[in-house]
Parts: sequence; structure tokens; C-alpha cells
Amino acid sequence: QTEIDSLSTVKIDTTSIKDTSFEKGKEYTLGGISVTGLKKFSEETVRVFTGLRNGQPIKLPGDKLTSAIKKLYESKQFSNVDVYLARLDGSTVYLQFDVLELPQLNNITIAGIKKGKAKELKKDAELKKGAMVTDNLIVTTKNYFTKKYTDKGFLKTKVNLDVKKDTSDINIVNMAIFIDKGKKIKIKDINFVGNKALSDKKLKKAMKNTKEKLLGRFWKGSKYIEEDFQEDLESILDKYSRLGYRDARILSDKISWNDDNTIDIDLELEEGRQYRFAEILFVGNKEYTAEQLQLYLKIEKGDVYNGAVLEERVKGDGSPTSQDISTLYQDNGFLFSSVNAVETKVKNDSITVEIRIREDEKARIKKVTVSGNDKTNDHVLFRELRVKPGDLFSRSAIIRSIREIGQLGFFDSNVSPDVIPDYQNKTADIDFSVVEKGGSQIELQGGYGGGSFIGTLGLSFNNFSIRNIFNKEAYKPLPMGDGQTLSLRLQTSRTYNTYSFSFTEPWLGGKKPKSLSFSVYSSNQYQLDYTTYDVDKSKSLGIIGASVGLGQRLKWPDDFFQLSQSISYQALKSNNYNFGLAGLNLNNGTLNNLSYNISLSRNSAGPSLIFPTYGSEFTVGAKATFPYSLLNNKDYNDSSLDAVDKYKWLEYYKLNFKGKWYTAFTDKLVLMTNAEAGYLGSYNSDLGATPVERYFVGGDGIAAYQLDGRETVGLRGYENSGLSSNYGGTIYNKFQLELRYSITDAPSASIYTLGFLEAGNSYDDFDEFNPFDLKRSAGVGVRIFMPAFGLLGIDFAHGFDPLPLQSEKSGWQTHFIIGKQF
Amino acid sequence: EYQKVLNKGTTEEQYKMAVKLYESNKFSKALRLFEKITPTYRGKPQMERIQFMVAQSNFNEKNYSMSGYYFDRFAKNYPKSSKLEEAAFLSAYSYKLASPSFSLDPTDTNKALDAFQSFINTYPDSDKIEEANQHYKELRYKLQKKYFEIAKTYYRTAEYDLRNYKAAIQAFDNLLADFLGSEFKEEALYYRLKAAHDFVLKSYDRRKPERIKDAIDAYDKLKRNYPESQFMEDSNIMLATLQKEQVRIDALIAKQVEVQNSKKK
Repeated sequence: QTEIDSLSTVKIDTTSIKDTSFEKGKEYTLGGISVTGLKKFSEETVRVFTGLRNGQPIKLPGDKLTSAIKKLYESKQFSNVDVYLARLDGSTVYLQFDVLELPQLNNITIAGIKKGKAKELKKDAELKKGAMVTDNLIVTTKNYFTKKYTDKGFLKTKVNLDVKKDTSDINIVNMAIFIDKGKKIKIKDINFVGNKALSDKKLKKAMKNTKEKLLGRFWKGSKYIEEDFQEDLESILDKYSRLGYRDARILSDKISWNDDNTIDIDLELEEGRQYRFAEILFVGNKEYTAEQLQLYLKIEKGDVYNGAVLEERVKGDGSPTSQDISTLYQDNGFLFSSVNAVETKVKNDSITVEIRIREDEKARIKKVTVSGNDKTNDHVLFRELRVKPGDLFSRSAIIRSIREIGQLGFFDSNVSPDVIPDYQNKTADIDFSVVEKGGSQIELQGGYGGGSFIGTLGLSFNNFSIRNIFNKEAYKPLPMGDGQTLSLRLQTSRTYNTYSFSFTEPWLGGKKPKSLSFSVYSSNQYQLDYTTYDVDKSKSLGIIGASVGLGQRLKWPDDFFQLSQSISYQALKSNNYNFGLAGLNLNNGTLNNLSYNISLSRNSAGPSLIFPTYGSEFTVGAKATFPYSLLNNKDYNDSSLDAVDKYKWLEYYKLNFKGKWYTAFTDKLVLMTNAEAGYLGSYNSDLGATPVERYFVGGDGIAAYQLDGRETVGLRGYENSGLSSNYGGTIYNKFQLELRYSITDAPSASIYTLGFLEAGNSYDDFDEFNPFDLKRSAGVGVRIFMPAFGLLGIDFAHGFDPLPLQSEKSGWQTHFIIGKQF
Repeated sequence: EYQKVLNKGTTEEQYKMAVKLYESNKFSKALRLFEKITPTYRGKPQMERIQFMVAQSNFNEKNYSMSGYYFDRFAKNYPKSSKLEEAAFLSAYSYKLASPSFSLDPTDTNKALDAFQSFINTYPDSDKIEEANQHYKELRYKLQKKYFEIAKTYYRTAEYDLRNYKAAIQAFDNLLADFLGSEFKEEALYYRLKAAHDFVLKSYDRRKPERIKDAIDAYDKLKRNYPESQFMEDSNIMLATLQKEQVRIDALIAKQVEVQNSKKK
């Protein structure tokens, strides 16, 4: 028998195969394959794995044999494969494969930790019954468990891993893992030697992850984790380099063990000298002058040398709004450009820097494609994308496209487009790979309230396709994908019923981003006798209304602006129904509310709708009715005039302002700042403020009863509408600071926590108005957004001031938030 | 009994039951059992049969994306199987069935196209070759329709955003270059001309000379390829407009040159 070392065909030892004189490199016919060393597998299986066929030509050694062996190893079923020449019969060869099968994993036991924890770790480590037990598996498993505990501060963790044969079946093994995590080790002292320019305190602060043990250290324990520690050493050097100490280095880092399960860390530093910038030269720039580039660099001769800032101004800081030289080039077609800062001369303490620019040619976009849109039709996406075929390559156009995709609300906002450059033709293709998330909410409720059954059916589709409403095949389960919004709500009980319907098409006619929205609603309420619980259908209040709105995106002052206009009509018809509307006694009659609404808004927040991290939202709006009383010569001072006559056509004007800013500290921690105010005015002082359309400030801000045009303004820490007088205020203002921390922003659910400070108030008229008389509150909360349910949340807020006419502060309040976004 | 075998049965029992269920067309139940036994049978001779049944079950359960994947994997793992050709065809056909409407994600459409292409190359004598060619043609048509409609979206919205004329022109050019002999060629050439023509009319005078030239080139290309085109009448009107515009621009340039010359004197 002759062994053919086929893994390295080059190294075949011809001298050892003297007896069976086969010719190296000659083509033989394969006569047959036998397999030895089998335990579980059949010979035939191994033959299939090799990919060799009887009767096929084969060279010894040769690439076919090599690949056969490679295939066997790749099957991950064998730990060793040797090939022997079994027989040579003229020009026919018979081969013998000798294999060593890997054992299969059967039972896994983990001891030394809690049972539940063991189960969890087993799942995380992906230890599964049936896995092949390789040396690699054993080593990685052991490392995995060790790391799991050392990363939590159990530095003395010991893991023993034992593999034993299981006799119940052929070639299977059991794995026993024993974990001794030992005591949790904390860091007692961190000592520095050699620092002069920076104090110990500053250096400790620079170490973001490795902290000394301290009573009350809450957010970060004082664990020692090797990886984080190395990162912290880098942070120290980064801190130095930002102050011009670019030679600073860490001479040694030492860990010493104390007796009380703590460790000390000793760091020896060498700061070196502080450097300054000498000359800064631009080389290779043709498109932009040195003066133009200097506007982006903003570093002068004589400034303290700061490598990090230099890098940021040259290469960018990684944020979408970065202002740097690379971005300048990348935004203007120079996809293939490269910009590098190179230190060319160091003299005493000053460094000459050359900004070397290779502009290359401008690149144009050739193809723009979208993939992953399982529901949303192409045109809905392509009309929003700011990257277009034929355009110059622009990084900011890509970033803007990502925002626009996020703002549609149908997709996960984490879109990372694939840029495929073509150096030869100086073009690039861009593919936007999107992930759909459901945007439809269904609400179906039955309940018992007010002595009777209440049924609710609410449907809200954010990506509807009305043209497919009669197309049976489009129902999967609903016609979707054209970006239209449709919502329908029916609610009924013994004493009242409401119906509402609304529809919005964002691109009317498909040519321009002109939106058309339309809504109708109707509601009826019957008098209920609270002693007998009988419903008196002869006494009722009916409200019907409709509104039509048009919105259009503007290109000036910039393309984040939108102008919206709408006309709404509402009729409140009372039929012997006694309802309190601003204290009016309205028994029989109809009030009409016909208004025109215009608002100008700018929204640049993004990229996600649920958790924006940059940009701002502003709205200035006005709503007004016709000033009937100024023209109809009616004497509104006449006391015989009853409410129906007086308010037959309701009149008012309303001004609103809202502004929101988003400031990101990291991509997970965002500050939302909000300021808003509203004023409801009247044309005629004899008539006074209108009984409808008022502001109700306080509480969760969820509009529960909105049929009289009231505006519900949230102010947590107080009871719902608690800060307004019974009939509502005519002036309000509100300020908010909300710090949000994103826990997850996955397509299935976005979760964030928040802490806030709020202040605001509602006033009945200008005499009462005092912008400094604000009701303050603070609190914390959490928001969960799931596509099928919308937004859910809970806030715990503390009101520091008393409600009107009370003397005790409002105190702790719990608010449940459903469907509304603050 | 099914639950018992599923949860507590030996692998052999599970295998037997899975095959029985498969043969009596209870595919989703069979799939759950197949899933359970796969780790144990990996590398064993039975695995060939199991993998085919898994693919076929997914196909019958209309999980076409999955069956496309499993048939493909079967074909790769068992290149000597007697069912190789069948699996290769079914993989391609599965992806075709999984492929959604032209206006949605083209990933499966592309997979199906590649799979049919490779089927046609590998089995030129197959008795399914005609069917495969037909599927291939339909898929190619679907993809062209997609890119044609996207290009038209650019054209349709160009009045709002003038940059979209250029985008439409580039998109029609891409379509014509990527699909030689396209069913949409005539229409694409016509819309290409229309976009170029409209773009000229919306341009500043100083940008017009090159854009008029591009539009007239587009007209020539349409006429050369489809002299009898149904769009000829409309295209001739566009050509006339372009030529008139050309004359006006030429006069404008001549005048400018004259003014400059007189200044020099």
C-alpha cells in the first residue's frame, strides 16, 4: 500500500512508491473506491462526498483527488482523511480512503451556575445536539463561557470542559461543562505616574469603561474587562493627542491583586511635548482653492496640534451633517477622490502638514435600484429618492434619500445603501436595500361601560392602495403599497355612536407631491337618565363634519417646507339635549362651524419617524372663520338673544406655533426640545371667545373627545385638562425638554426610555396671561412602538405646582400613552 | 399520535412517520418532522431522499422562496442524483412563482432568471426546455417592465423636479443597454425622445445646444429602428419643434458672436 499525500500534491514522495510503479502524472481510470475507518457512515455516503465516479480518468497525484479530499474535510464530518493506493491493474487504479469520523454531540450538561442561566447560555453558545465535536468547538466553547463571566467582572472564572463517550449509540459523546465563576473582582485604585499636563481625575474621566469602585456608582460597575480597558488606554492617548501631546504613550500598565477581591491598576505614562501646527499646505486641489478648503479645515498656523480634529476636518466625523473636506468632495461628484493629511516636517515643537488631495474625475450615478420592497410599489419609493440616475455622485443626496425612506413610515429606518463604483467609466450604481415593516393598525374592541355594551372597530392603513380595492388578487391580506392612508373608525353603544372615515393621497395624480386628504365623520349621542339608565332617543346631540385639505411641498426657502390648507365644516345639532358647551344653554338648534386652515411647516427631522436623531420640526398655523358678526348688524348685547341665535355661525380665529429640535449626543441618546403656543381670538368683543375650539392643557395629551374642535395639549404631572378652566382656555404655552435613550430600533419594535422637564399653562384671556406663570413637572417614562399596535407608553410624572384653585402641589401622576407621539 | 412521535419518538420513528405523512400529502406536518431528524441524518444515504421531500413539501405548501432554495441545495449536494434535472427545474420554477408583481422587490425574479438560464445551458436536450424558455422570457419581460415603469416615473414627475428629465433619459438608456432586443424598445426610444424634447423646452438657452443635439439623436435612433413606428407622427412634431428651437438658438449665438466681434474692433 502506498500513501498518496494528496493534500499537497506537489510534495508527493516518489521514492516510497517504488514497488507499485505507477507513473506520476499519468492518466489512469478509476476502478473503484473502498473506505475504511467508518463508524456511522456508509461507504456509499463517503463516495458521494468525494464526488468521484468509477470509470472517470484520474491522475495520481492530481487536482481531482485533491478536491475529493477537500470535499470530505468541508463536509465537517471527518477529522482525518488519508488516501492509499489499494491496487493497480494495468491502467486502472483502485483507491482506498481511510477516514476518522468526528463524534456527534449528544447530551450537554452545565454545572456550577443556576439552571435557568445554564439553559440560556447553552442557547447563546449554540451548543446543539447533533453538532460535530471538533477541537475547535471545544476550544471556542470553553473560551465563550470564560469570557461570558470575565466580562461581568468575574476575573477568576474557571471553566472545565469534559468530553466523554456515550455508549448508547455509535460515535456520540456527551459534554460536561463545569463553571466556577468565583468572586466578583472590583477595581480599587487606578494610579498614574508621569502625568503633568492632565490630572489623575481628568485621566480617570477619559477612561469611559474602567472605573474605580465607588459607593453609589450606579450606571457602570467597576469591572475590569480586558477589551474595554485597552479601549480606555486608547482614549487616554486620544485625550492627549487632542491637546497637542501627540507623542504621549503608555509605558506600562500593571494589574496587582489585593486581598479583598479587588485589583489595582498602575499606569505609567510619558506625555512628551506639546506640539503646534506650522504651515498647512493643500496639494492636488484643482476644483477648490486653498481658501475655500481652509473654510472647512478651520485650523490656523500656531494652533495647538490636534490630530483628532485634523482627521475630523479632513475625513469627517462620521455624522450625516459632517462639514469636512472629504464630504465637500464626495458631495460634488468626486466619488473617487481621496483626501489625506500627512505630516511632512517636524521642527522643534511645530509640525508642517500637507493635505494631499487626489481629486480624480467626477463620477455620475448610472443606476439606482431598490430591493426588499415586498409590499410598497416602486413608484412610491422612486419619487422620494434624492439619488437619481445621471446625477453627479453626492453623499448628502444619499443621506437625504435615507431620511425620505424613513419618513414614509413603511420601512425600517436603518437603510445602508450599497454603492457599486465603476472606476473605468467613472460611474456608480446605488442599491437601496429596504426592510418593510407593517404600518397598519387594527383595533377591535368590545366592552361594557356606562351600563351598556360598547363596540369599537378601528382600522388604520398607512400604505394603502385604493386603486386595487376591487382587485381580488391584491388582498394579501389587504391592497397595499401605494402609500395612501386610509382610516376608518366605528364605535357604537346604547347611548352613542360615531363613525369616521379619512383618506390621504400623498401624490395626487402621481406627478407632484401634492397631497389631498379628505375626511367625514358623524356622531350621535342620546340622553341617558342616570337614575333609571334608560335611553331617551327623543333627546339627542348630533354632530356631522367634513374636511378637505391640500398640502404641497415647497422648494423655497428649502425643500423641507410644506404648505397645507384645508376647509372644514361642522354642524352641532341639539335636539332637547342638555349639554354643557362653555356654559351655554342650548336646547334646540344647530351651531355651524365653517373654517379655513392654513399652515406652513418645515420638517427636517429624521431619519426615523419614531426616534428622530437629527433635524427639527416647525409649524406656524392659522385657522379662521368668516367674521359674520361684523357684517350682519346684529346686536350681540341684546340679552334676549339666545345661544342658538348668537352662535348660529361660530366665529373665531386661531394662531398656533410649534417648534421641535432634536439634538443627538450619541446615536442612541437624543434631546428633544419643544416649544409651542396657541391663541384663540374673537372678532367681536360683544360676542367674546367662541365656545368651541378651545385649549385643554394637562395630562397625557390624548384627544379623547375632539368633536367640538378642542385641542388637547399634554402636560404630564397634572390631571387631564386639569390646567384649563372648565370650558377650556383661549391661550396656552408649553415648553419641554425630553432626553430619550433608544433601547432598540428594530423593525419589529422600537423601544426607548425618556426623562423630561415640562412647563406650561393655559389662560382664559389676555388679562390672565402671564408667560412666567408656568406649571412645572418632571418625570420618566418608556415608549414602545410596534407596527401592529402603534405607540404605547407609560410616564410617571411629578407636578411641582398646584392645579388652579388648589393649594397642594399636583404630585405624582401616571399617564398611559396610546397612539400619540409627544 | 403525531404529537407523541414529534416530541418523544426516536429518529427512526420520526423518519417513518414523516415519509408516511409526505406520501399522504400532509406536507406541513411532515416538514416539522423532517426538521427534527435532519441533524441526525446529515451525511447519511437517506438524506438525499429527505432533502428532496423537504423541497417538494415546501413547494406544495406554496413556500416558493423556500422550495427554490431547497431544490437548489439538493441539486448542489447530489450532483449524481437521478432527480437532478427535475430539482434544477423546480428550483427555478419555485423562484418564478415566488417572484412578486413587477413593481416590487426583484430579488426572486433575478434568482429565477439566473436559475432558468443555468438550466437551459446545462440541459439543452431536456423535454422541459421549451417550458423553461417560456418562463425565462416571461421573467425577462417582467424585469423590463419594471425598469420601464421606473423610468416613466421619473418622466412623469419631471415637471415637478426638472432633474428628473435627466434621470428619465439615463434610465431609458440603461434599459436599452441592458436588454438588447427588448420588447419595450420602441416605447422606450419614444419616451427617451419625449423626455429629451421636454427637457430642451424647460432649459435655459445657454444649455440648449447640447440638449437639442441629444434630443435629435434620440429622434434619429427611433426613426432608424422603427421607421413605421406608431409614434412617428408625434415624434415628427417634436422634431419640428426641436429644429425650430435650433434655428432660434443658432441665430442667438450668431448675434452674440457679432456683438463680440464688433467690440473687438
